Amino acid sequence: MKSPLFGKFEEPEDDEHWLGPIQRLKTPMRRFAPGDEVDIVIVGVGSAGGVLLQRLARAGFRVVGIEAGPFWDTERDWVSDEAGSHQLYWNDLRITGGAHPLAFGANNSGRGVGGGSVHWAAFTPRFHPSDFRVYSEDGVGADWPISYQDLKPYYELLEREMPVAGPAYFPWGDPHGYPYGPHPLGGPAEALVKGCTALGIPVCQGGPVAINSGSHGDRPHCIYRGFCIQGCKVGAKQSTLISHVPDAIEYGAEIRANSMVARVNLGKDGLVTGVTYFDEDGHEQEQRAKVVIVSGYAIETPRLLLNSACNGFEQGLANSSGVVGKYLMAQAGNVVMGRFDDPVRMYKYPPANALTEEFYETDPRRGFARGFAIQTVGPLPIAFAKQMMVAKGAWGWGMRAVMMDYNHWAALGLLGEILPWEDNRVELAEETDRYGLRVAKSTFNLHDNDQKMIAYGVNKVEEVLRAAGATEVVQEPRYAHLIGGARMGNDPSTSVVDGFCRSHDIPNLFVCDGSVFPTQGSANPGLTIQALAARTADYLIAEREAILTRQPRSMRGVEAGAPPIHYDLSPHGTSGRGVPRLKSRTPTPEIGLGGLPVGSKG
Amino acid sequence: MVNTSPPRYTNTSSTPALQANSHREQSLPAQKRTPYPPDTPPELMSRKRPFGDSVLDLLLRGLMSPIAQRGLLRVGGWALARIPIVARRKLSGVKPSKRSSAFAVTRWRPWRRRTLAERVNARVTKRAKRFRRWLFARLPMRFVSEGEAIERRIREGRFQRSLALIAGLSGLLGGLEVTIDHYKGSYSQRIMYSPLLISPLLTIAGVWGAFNRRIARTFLPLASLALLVDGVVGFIFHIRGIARKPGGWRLPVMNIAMGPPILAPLLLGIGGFLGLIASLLRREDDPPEADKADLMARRPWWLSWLPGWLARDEERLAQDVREGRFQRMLAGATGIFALLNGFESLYSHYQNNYAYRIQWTPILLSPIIAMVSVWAIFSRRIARLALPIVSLLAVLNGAIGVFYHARGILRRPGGLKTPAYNLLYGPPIFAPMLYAATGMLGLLASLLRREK
Amino acid sequence: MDNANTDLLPRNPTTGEVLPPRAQPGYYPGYSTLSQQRFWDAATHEVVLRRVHQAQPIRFFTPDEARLMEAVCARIIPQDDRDEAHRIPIVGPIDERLASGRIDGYRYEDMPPDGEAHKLGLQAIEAIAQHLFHTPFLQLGAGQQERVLKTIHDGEPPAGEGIWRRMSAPRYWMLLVQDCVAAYYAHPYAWDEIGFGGPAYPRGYMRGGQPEPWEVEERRYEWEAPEWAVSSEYEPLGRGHETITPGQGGSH
Repeated sequence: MKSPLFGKFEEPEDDEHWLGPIQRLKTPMRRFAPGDEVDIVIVGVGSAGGVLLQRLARAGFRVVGIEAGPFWDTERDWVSDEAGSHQLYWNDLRITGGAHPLAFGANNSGRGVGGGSVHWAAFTPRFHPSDFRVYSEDGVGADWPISYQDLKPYYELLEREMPVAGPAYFPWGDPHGYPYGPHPLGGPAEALVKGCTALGIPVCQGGPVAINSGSHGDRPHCIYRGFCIQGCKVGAKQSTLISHVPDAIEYGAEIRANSMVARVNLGKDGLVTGVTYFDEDGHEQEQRAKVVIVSGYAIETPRLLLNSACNGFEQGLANSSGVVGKYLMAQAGNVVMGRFDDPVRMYKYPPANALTEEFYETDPRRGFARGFAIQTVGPLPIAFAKQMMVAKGAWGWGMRAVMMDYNHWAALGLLGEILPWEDNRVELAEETDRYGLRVAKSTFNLHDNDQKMIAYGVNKVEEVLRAAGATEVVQEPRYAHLIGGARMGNDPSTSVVDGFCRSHDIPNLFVCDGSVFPTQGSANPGLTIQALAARTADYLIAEREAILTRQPRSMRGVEAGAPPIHYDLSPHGTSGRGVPRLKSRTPTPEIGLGGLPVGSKG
Repeated sequence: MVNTSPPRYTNTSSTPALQANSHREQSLPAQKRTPYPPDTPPELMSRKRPFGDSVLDLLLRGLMSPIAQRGLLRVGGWALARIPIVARRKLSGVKPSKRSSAFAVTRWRPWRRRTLAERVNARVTKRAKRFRRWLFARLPMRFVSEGEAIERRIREGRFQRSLALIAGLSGLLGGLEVTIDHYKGSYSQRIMYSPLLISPLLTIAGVWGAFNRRIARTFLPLASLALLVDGVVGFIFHIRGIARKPGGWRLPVMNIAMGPPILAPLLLGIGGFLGLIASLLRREDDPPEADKADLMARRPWWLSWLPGWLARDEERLAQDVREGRFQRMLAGATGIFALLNGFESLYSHYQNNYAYRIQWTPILLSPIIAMVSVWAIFSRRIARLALPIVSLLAVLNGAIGVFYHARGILRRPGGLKTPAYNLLYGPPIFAPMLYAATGMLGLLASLLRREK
Repeated sequence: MDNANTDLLPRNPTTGEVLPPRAQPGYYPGYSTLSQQRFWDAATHEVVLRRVHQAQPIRFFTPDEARLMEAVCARIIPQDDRDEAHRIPIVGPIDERLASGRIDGYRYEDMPPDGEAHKLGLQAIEAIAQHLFHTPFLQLGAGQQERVLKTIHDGEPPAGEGIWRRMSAPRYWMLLVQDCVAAYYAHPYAWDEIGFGGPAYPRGYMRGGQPEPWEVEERRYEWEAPEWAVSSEYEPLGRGHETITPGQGGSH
């Protein structure tokens, strides 16, 4: 066939807003009047912000989300092209330094509604129960103020809302099954499975990924094209843009896109009164709100808090502890590539395709605390060329030659837990951006434990690739996922927010995103960020009266226990789908049989 | 329970081979009524047979019957069944000379010079008969008599119990296949569970119907009908599913190959089709006296709702099936199922880029089977000679396919260490079995009598 | 074909014959992603076709710098095995990125802004050429040019201390190579060369390691870089590189 049957493909009409090939933004968005005080304003509509917005709007709050980037139309704005997808990332300037500086850009923070979930590879493993007790168990890092059991019902909720595709039995951490079936394997995943089974390492095939392995309402089944991290035009990969935001808008939430928040404003009574932001046209605006939630992710959240320094908080808002910006983490994301004699063609199939968490937990015999996971990655040509430049030192004719073999290489990624260290931090640089706001400067160093873990992990991945039959194996060091910068904890002197993501210093200021994680595990943080957002929303809903009557100081604290879980706030079309699967061994009484929550209406 | 009248089997036996054996009947004394055909050797009858058949008998019948086919059915698609009836009705009013001999019901005109085709056919038939005699003379007597007994029972439509079991089995296999396939689609819609609920019903109905006459005539056709209707509903949903893939029907090749398998729901209907036929058949242990009067007495309750002409057709069809006279109908069904199967293997093997040359065989064989089957609707000789040969090829091809698919599963990364996943995403192990089932259907058709 | 040109061309290692420039080097003869453009969605079609057909005027580099940059890029990604009509512009996209101030979202604290780094780098390359061969880079033979660049690759540039005090040599090398490969491998001709599928929406893929119906099987041929090429040997990046993470084109 030289061209599609019946001529050209369907294109969006002028008045249509596409969120994937079938889903349309149906309802016009609510607009709050200028100067109107809303109940809750959310800074950043990304992974956490999208879920918060949807939950709070459904619960009846008047809620506004302010997003620095655009409100994407997936058909018009996104392209099926590696170089053309540059705009999805947070490309504004950040300064990076330290002995092992982080590289930002493509793989760690997003810009636009949906945030990082627009370009994540969508691996969605849960954290292990041990991740919440790292300090108690291993004497390193920190403990979380909440436990796995606190988050578990939200993991289950979000896994259905996304929905997550994976095996019916996932053996690591708290064993559980996934609501959607696993995906078929691409080339790198086959190499991982072959290598792991040859070495006797258990491996999880076809997931867990938040990519549809079956149509989910108006979101189609994956078409295995491999452009996950370029923004999924198919609408198969979950991003809050297509899973939660349409529902939020239907329930009366407003999103102000292309609006950069400059600072969070503090009132005389020690409560925040709202935010000041630059609107689409660059005009400074103020949005008053009873509660402010900052969901800007690991770099922008500390930057906003530090930029909001004012009388009473000279070091930065909510920073009486001095911890804002500190304990920044990234995961070790070394890419190990192996050359195979048979073609692999790794540009096909989702890069997130198979993983093993066999080395996740601390093993004293290895000589370092905590561990790592091995995952598939599927770099497209440009990314692969950049990796080869470092891994083989390729350039010139050598680069041309190795790239001609692109289809013979398979790439696996290490995902290792780098521990939180105080000297890894975000500060403000002297330079300013186009709004005149000081940009963030990160400092990052690897410590002894981290380096031992990376060396051991890379060695293990190389072993796996060799066992799979690779004739040549090379590796490129890199990081993945930013975490930390405003960590949660019970002690106000060593943490920024409490277990409900409420800042210790200011009762109506919340921080809810990846920056509140005290430790990061070796699991991709996306699912946990969204689950934590759902839990924070439940807390806010439970404290509705205190919020609406402007008495945030009367909100219950952590000691009052977990808020009731709302199973009826899932987006439309969440329930009644999915495969029969294994429930985890530790049952939560609120969840009924078959994975369907009691009284679910979503 | 003693029946003193001699069994009246001879009125239905017609082939020379059976007539040749008829001398045995005369040598048998009047006996207790048994489920055995009259020419069964006494040494075989003396054994205890809970099914009324020997194990060998069951095995052979099992082998000869289709496991899963699909197509138009008696009620859902009674049109298929009407083809021979309408064709006959039309043709009988027309002078034979105006039609080609293959299509016409020719009058017996011994003085007419036979056409070349007829002469070749006659020669082949003669040789085949000679071969059959030659073969039978060399096989152990037990096999020959068993085989002939089976053949006769099929010809006479006395195989309800076996066919009910087989329908149940195909329901089970189809159910397993759809379980796996819908698992791949994550049961993202509740209706995807429907074949999972209905095919076990057919399995239960089939097995129960093998033991219980009443169930075989009530529950079995209902369960079969439900599966057929579900197949049609599934077909519609799968068409919709392809339309909703990115690009929809503008990318037919990609979306048929990667979307919901468009013909699979119809293929699932084969169990239903077999179940419906089984419900109309006579049982192996039916007394020979059961005849048309008996049939009229069991006139289905819904028949009176139909218009008169349709009810007459239905009755006629039922009577034909009951007497094993539905060769044309089954040949037509074989042709349709072969085409559906061929198309399925076409696009699923296309997905694998025909990496092995043997992947072409089902695709090439299917149109041949379809052609022969359609021809068999009009020609008794084709039905008796060519149809069993191509059907046997299909069975063989299916068996080879099962082997290669099993090997493909074992060769996947992880092999047997990750059996569940590899069964899910390896080559579909049940698909070649379905292909073999098409062959079984053709074999069964070749053994039947033609409609009156 | 004159001798000067054949020197630049890759050879068949067994026969030693020069392989003439072709429209499409690589192991996928006859494969064309552009031939599939009717299967691309409108937005992607526009972006890729603009890349192929619109030559951007040089806005950021001065004409001299642009000439030098051309020569440098021609060694970072040599295209001598491509015929004139099928060469992929590299300086154009880099210039366009720098002129529009598009960055990857970060800057190392020991590096000046990207545009300045590129300009400084060119000066340093010129200085190294003068230092090693006492000749401008543009007038050097291809082999000598490669040796100049190799010193930066190795992290030991013998000249331009002043410049290397203002920026890190290994980081400049990474910036330069990354920009070049990002321009080259964004082009459909390069996709055809390496057998990459190109845009894949709304039509996705149905086969794993096997070629799709519109792709072609790999047909390898023997070739080796010209004898003078030092870049054909893979050598690890120079000191300081073990600790550098490029973090581009995220893969998690």
